[in-house]
Amino acid sequence: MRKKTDVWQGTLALMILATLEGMGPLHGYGIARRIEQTSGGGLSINYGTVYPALLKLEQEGFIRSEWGVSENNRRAKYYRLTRAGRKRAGQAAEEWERTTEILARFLSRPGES
Amino acid sequence: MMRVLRGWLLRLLGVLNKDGSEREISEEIQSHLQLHIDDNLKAGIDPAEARRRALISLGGVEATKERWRDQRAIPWVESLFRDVGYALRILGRNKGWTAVIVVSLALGIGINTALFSVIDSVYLETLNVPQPGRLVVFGWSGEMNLLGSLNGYGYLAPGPNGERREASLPFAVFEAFRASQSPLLEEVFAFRPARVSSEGDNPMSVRLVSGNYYRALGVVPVQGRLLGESDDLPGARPTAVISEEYWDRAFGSDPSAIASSVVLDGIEFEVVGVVPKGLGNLERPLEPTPDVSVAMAMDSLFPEHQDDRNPGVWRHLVMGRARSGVSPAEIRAYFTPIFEQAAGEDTLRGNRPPDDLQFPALEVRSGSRGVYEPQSDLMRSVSILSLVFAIVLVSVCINLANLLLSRAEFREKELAVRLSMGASRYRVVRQLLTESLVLAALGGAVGAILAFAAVPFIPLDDVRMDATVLVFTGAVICVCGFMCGIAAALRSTRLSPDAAMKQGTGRATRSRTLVGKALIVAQVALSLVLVVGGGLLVRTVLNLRSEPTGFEPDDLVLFGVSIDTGASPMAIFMDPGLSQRLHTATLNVLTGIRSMPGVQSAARASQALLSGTRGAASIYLQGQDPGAPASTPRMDVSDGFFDTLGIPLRLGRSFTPEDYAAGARVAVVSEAFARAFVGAGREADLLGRMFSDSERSPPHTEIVGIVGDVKYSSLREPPPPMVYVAAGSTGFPASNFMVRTTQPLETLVPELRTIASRADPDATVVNVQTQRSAIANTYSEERRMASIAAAFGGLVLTVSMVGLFGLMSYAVARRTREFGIRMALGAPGEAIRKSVLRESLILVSVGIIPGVVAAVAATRVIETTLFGLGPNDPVTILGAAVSMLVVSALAAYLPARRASRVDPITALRHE
Repeated sequence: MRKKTDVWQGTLALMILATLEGMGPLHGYGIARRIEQTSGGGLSINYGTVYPALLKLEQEGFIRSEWGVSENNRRAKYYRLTRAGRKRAGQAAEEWERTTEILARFLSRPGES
Repeated sequence: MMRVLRGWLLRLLGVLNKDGSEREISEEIQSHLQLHIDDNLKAGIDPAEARRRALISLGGVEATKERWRDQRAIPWVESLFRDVGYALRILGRNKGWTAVIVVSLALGIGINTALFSVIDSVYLETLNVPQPGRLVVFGWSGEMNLLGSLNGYGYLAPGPNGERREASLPFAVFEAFRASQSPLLEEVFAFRPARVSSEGDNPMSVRLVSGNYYRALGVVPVQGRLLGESDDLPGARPTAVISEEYWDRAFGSDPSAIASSVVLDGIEFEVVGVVPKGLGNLERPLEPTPDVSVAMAMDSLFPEHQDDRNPGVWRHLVMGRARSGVSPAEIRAYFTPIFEQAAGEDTLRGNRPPDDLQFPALEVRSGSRGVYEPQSDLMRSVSILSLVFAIVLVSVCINLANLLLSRAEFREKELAVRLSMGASRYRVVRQLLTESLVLAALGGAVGAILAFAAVPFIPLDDVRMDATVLVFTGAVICVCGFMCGIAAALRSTRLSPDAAMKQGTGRATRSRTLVGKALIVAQVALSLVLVVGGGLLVRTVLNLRSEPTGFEPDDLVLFGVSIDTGASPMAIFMDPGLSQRLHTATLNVLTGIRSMPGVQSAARASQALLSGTRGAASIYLQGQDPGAPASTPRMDVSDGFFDTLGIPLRLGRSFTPEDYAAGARVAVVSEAFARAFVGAGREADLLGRMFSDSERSPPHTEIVGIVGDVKYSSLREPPPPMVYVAAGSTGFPASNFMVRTTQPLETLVPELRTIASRADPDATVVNVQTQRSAIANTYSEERRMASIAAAFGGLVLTVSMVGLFGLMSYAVARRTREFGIRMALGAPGEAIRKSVLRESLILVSVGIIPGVVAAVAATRVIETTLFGLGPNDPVTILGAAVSMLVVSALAAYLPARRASRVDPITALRHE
């Protein structure tokens, strides 16, 4: 059976930024849920790990949080991207694409290309 | 990068706002679970299972919170806060002990900072010019009896073999130096303080400088330009530069001061520029920059400086700026032949016979700290103060180590418990270190306050408190002290925890007490050195104060009268009318003072005794022995001089009003003069003998009487042979007066002013002081050293007594059980008190022995400063030892009393 991939810190932050960019303001549960869904079950993630990551992003000024009400009338803390966060998400995506492209060239099996 | 910084900053702040954010994360997790459970319920899972799944996928509430907290703040900072809180609680529980530590730390840090600041600002300051290290000072050394005839000033402390050293040189030597164009020096420049009268209430300090003075120093003007070579030409327009301080004081820093003028000796000098603040005085860097400087060529305009360039007048301070890498020794070798040539025989006129008189030797020293820098009494002061500094530092370290050591014992059990419960040694050491740091911070803060508060009490001007020194002394003390304390605490934790816990009170503490005792002994010894040193210096000052002067210094007021006629001495001499005017004015001043109510008597003389002025003249006595002195101090005095000063007549007669009326050439000499010229017991031979002041002129003045000896310029020197010549008045525009009166200065001064201005419209009263304060000024350095040494000696004594108190308190606490048992067995409290006191006194006595040995060795440093007693003065040493015992008895009394009041029942239950 193929092992599920562990999420490491930096990538998680990137995923959070990307999620918020795609989905707009979202609470911690929603973000965790969305990351899990997007990965298609390929990632094993404790939902709890998003909270330190969110805090770090907030401390660095990429996201902002405020309490709001969910669609089913529950109080929840919503996170939204700041302008710096949006910029960072764009940058990160670009960097990531470049990196993976380069890596892909190294890792591509001989004969396939 | 900024983002990362911002993140850390917020985390640091996160340490502070703990409770609020704690609530926030709890709520957020609760809301998270709720949302998840809602979803699970919607998916048709039963409520209990829904909650379980939500919790599992979260990964545990506490684990999440913990990870979140680590991100919220910085973990080690938080635990540091916890440690600090714990340390504060521990320290708070032992308030007395904490107070003792903080006080000794504060004293140590405070005292040493203050002390080092004194050393630094008084003795280690360099001149505030570019590359002061390249400045050199010229001077000379030679035999003592050259002094009189050279007519110089700028005395330096005697050299190692007692030879006379001076900084002042004749103008001819400066010119020869300059003309030599030596490749070793970039510039040779000269200067001297000028004695001129100026307008206004506050006399200006004025200096004559050579044209290259400012260029050589490398000073840049604040306004206008500085003096240059063109100002220093004969017949140049009178120009002056003023100091920035004076510019501010007199002109309110108005730029229009340039091109205005200052009036010196009635001559207008155009102000051309402003010298920057902080250039200081080249003689002593800490003294203020002279108000006004004028070119050396202007000396011919000032009556007091007409003869400055004459042979035999050695009054110019000469300095140079060396090229880089040139040593004073090379400069000295190069300039010595030039000096000998230029100083020459004719400069040394009046010294006879020249054969057995050594020609003075040129000296070249570093000038980085001004002319008087390496003067040995200053260097001696530095070494004394440095010694005091070292003693205080070591003593405070010892004290701290001792207090922490005694403390470590009490901590033993606590540490053992913590170790046995699984605390790592690292964690325990960290806790101890934190405690030390908290103590250090407290002590340092109080010490800093103390140091700054001490500044106004330091008997010196311009002491700057140096933060570096504060940190340095604090660090040294803390590192020494706390390392000892922590080492001690850790030694106990090396035992297996259960052994340490069983230990109770006793056992294995003997060695520690022994160390504590040894430290106390060392401390007593060190304190004794300071107390003895302080005692010697204080007694020196007392001895100087009570040293007989040969006259009556009490109720005697000195002042000068300066008459500004605008004419040079030569002009006055040539103008009989002017001479007569000055003569009359002087006589009128004297008559005026004598008729003042409350004045018993008054006199006039060319100089005042023990007031910092001195003068000497050559003497050629009829039928003189070949070994007699070539020159002696000489004073021209008015009638009533001996009565006013209270100098007793020994033989012959004093001056009479008839002598003055007839203009008789008569003189009175001192007993020392008789001893030096005809030998003791043959004084009567002198009466009727004639002398002159030049080899070429026949003897013209008759000795008519012999009076008692007086101290002339220094209390330390034996009374010199004195010649007093009857002279009602001279043609000089300045005179010194002595008034015997009980009136205070405040009432006297206005009256003196009235009398002076009535005697002559151009007369001003200057330099009014009591004879006592004039004398005190002659030993101000001794007074300064004594007050510093006494103050610091007292403080070190206090610190070590605090240490003794701490040690004995601890010892008594440790032996509570033993005292309880002894009391229960019937020992009276009195006996226990005595035994504790005895123990402390034995400890102190043991410390006194090495202390005396150390003091005997250390006080040699101040041997030359002492007066009237030797460095090993038994009375002082005994007195210091006794006061040490008395003070330590006081320090030990409280613990002893506590020991004697132990309640046997409580004591036996005690552990």
